[in-house]
Amino acid sequence: MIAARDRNLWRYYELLPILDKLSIVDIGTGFSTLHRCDNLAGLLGLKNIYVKDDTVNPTNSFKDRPSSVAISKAREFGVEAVGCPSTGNLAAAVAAHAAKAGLPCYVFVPGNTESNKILQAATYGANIVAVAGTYDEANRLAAQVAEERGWAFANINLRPYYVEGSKTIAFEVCEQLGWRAPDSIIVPLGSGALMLAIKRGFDQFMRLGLIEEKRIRLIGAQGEGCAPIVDAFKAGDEEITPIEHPDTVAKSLAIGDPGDGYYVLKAIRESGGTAESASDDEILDAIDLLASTEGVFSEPAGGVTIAVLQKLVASGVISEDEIIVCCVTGNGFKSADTLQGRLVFPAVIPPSLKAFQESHGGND
Amino acid sequence: MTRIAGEKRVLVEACLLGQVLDTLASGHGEEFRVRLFDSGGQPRRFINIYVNGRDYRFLDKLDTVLHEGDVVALLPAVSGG
Repeated sequence: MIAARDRNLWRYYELLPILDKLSIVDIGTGFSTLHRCDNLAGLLGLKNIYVKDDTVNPTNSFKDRPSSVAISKAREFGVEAVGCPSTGNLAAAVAAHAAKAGLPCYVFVPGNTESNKILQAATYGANIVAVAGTYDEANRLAAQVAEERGWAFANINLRPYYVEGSKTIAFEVCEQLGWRAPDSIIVPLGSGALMLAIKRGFDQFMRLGLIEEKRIRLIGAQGEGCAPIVDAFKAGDEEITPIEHPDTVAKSLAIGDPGDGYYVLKAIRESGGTAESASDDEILDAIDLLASTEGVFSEPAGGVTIAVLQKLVASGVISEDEIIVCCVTGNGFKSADTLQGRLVFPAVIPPSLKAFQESHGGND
Repeated sequence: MTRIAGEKRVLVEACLLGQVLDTLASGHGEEFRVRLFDSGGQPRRFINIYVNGRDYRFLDKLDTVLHEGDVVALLPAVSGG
């Protein structure tokens, strides 16, 4: 019955917290490609690597999922304005859905947010509040403004509805694998909300009998310069020590004080999973590797996932046969500022065969 | 705080951050104290505390010294986007 429905996240409507279908604000999110990555697998000596490719959503990140649910709920509540604090992807997703719903939108971003992310949110018509500080400071300010103005912020006062959208990644992965769960899943961690939502998605499908009961290993991935959850995991701590000055190329994940960190640690440990971080260079190399082996162009948050996969293969944590899914959560164009720094722009040649042969070698 | 105590902003006189929280808890009833502190007397994990916009964990936590005009903010710890 589900298989015949529209290929977007609302195919799981009964499991999403909207009371009336007429409230739904949808611009075509979800049912993103699950790539079977045989080239990458061959290189790493594995058999079953999949990438869940959320670069293809309407605003090019997985944030379209929680935004579609949050803004639908905001419409159901009849709010006056919406918005969010964001490292960039959520801002664009909320702005696009707000535009479709005809609602004013206010987004709070750190001043150093990548320019493409600001361009995107602004073009959808959002009011951009650029904050001189970290994401955590933008988040605090947004919480205070939401309280003061009574506005509905997707990841603050609409958060219980917002998080439900992300669990559709787990639903789709199971459906796309033929109604079964993977053995392990690698998830990039910012606040940690995505991992908890994915876990809830798997749990719900098991409770409904749509997939067999099994223990799925949850693996968290962060950038080394802001890895409070990974650090706490490795230290055996239950509580997170916040990072005051995040410094990682994975700006989407640069959340020094992850609100869901305590719960993510518990979930990872109970699943028998692990958490690992990657350096800026490892992340950027992983972006190139994924793009050049499988044709998927990821921003650093997704590169972190692949970099961590490589590390865990090298350390023997991932076995050859296991079915492993890597979440690629945003498109590389979002971080063009960062990625362009690595590009050596080719020399421009005259439009002649001779010039081509001189620059690319002859064919004799 | 607004829902239990009916106020958004309160003026408190104290030297240390911990004293501010104790004064608030004493002045606003058991329901407020229980929401603010866990059974070990520590501020609950899901409440963020800021002094002049800085997270108290980057200062001296409950021993942070306060000066006249300092603003202490208590906010739910939600983040990520």
